[in-house]
Amino acid sequence: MIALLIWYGIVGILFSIFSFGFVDPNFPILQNTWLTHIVYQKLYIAALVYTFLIFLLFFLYARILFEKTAFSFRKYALFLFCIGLIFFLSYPALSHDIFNYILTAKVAYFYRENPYVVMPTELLFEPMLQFTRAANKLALYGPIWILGTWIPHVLSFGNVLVSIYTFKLFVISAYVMVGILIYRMTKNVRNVLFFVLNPLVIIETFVSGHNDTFMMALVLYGIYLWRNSQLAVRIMGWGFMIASVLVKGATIVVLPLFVFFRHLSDEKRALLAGMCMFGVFLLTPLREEMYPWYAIWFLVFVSLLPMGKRSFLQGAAYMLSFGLMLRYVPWIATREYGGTGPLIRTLVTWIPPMMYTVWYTFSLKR
Amino acid sequence: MKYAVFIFFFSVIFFIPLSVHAEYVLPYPSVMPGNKIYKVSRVVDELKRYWSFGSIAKAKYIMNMADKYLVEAKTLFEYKQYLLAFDALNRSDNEVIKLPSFIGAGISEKKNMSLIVSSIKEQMSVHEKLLETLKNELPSVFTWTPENEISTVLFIHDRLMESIKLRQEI
Repeated sequence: MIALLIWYGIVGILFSIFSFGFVDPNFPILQNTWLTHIVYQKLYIAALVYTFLIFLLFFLYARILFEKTAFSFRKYALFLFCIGLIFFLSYPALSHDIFNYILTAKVAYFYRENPYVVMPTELLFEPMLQFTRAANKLALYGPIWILGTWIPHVLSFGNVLVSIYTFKLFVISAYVMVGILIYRMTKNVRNVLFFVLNPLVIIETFVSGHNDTFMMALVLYGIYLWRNSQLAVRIMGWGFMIASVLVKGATIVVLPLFVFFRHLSDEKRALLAGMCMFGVFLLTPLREEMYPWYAIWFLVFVSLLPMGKRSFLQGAAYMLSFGLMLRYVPWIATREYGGTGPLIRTLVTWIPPMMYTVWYTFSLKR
Repeated sequence: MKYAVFIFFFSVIFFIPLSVHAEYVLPYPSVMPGNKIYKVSRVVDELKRYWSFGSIAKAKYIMNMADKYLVEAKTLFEYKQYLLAFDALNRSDNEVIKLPSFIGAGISEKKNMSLIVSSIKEQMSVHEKLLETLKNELPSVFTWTPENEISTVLFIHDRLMESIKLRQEI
């Protein structure tokens, strides 16, 4: 087990180093290195390296999950801290969203403008506009997220590089909270490992710093409090669940479960909540695209289900996570979002879970 | 000769730069006085004033309101509801008056307000054109005589001139 975790860390170091090849050409530092030359000029090599690293991470993740020897929660926490630190130091290679978070917070707290009224592009000569995408849009996230980002904004002291890490830390604190809550709700370290070591969760949280983990931490804490028998605590639980909806909105589908299906067991509720979130996940292409980090929405609930060697849902979630991380490959290989990209992205996403489903069905018959 | 004419037209079409200008467009008329939800819409407008914090946001809000009330005044003038139209025009003017203070606030906060300033200039010119059109179409003086009430003499041209002057001074 120790060897596997160390290997996971080593691959993490390689991934973190590789991530600096994706530094935006307009980013004030770390431009024009040998790594950026590979990523921006030798596209197919970059795509191969990325695929290889993702494959290794998922291989090690599966091996760790199937490992029979287990440590105490604290020992795991120590290893996870080291692995997390490695990924934390990386550059947000696969998504520009973190820059959008930073700039939206800057609009609100530095310029003191309402980010729901003023777009970042209206702030002429703002240096971050050079490398921030979707700057021509009003604030994309809910008020709780924007209020929360005051903390990393203040801690960054106006430095872009520091703010990348303070914003990541803010999201990582939510990741830690999710890990602790999964442990408290399941009392099983394997359930925690299923979530916290998932390469998709690690990359989208520690590398890209997506706020989906923050949204899920709030809803999970809300559910945790809601299970309490005291009315005041239950009301607080509702408060956290509503706060989660005010981060990104997706968790609104979970709320009816706590109104209409109050007497369900924890396991059934987690299953239903996971199905609801998976439903929203499936609908995301109607709005924009099925982004890999949206998988965090249902992975949290799948992690609450009992772990078994032949658990179909966890197996399918694993394969779907793998497929979703492969969605980045066409973009890394071509640097284009159009062309055959959407078709390839759809295929690489769904082929692994479909193959798993076929294999699972046949293995049941035997 | 044929080639010369062809080359001339080719160069005219492809090489002479043409300036493309996106004109400032006024909004459609919103809910008008007399409508059941008119008062609600006014309350919403007031709430939006607080929602639009920050000098750029406030300037954008004021520009929107100045447009909204001016279009309201135009529609009311067209339907010969002169008293209500005067009221709407007053509200539009009151918003226009506030613009310089928010531009000044933005500049003192070291924000680049040039985008807003150029937008305001365009807006004011569109406002002026609309007010000039109204001045040409409407009577100079009108006596408004409601039932069982004292009549009011409305100096429409003077009032419109006042609004035009205000916009020219901005």
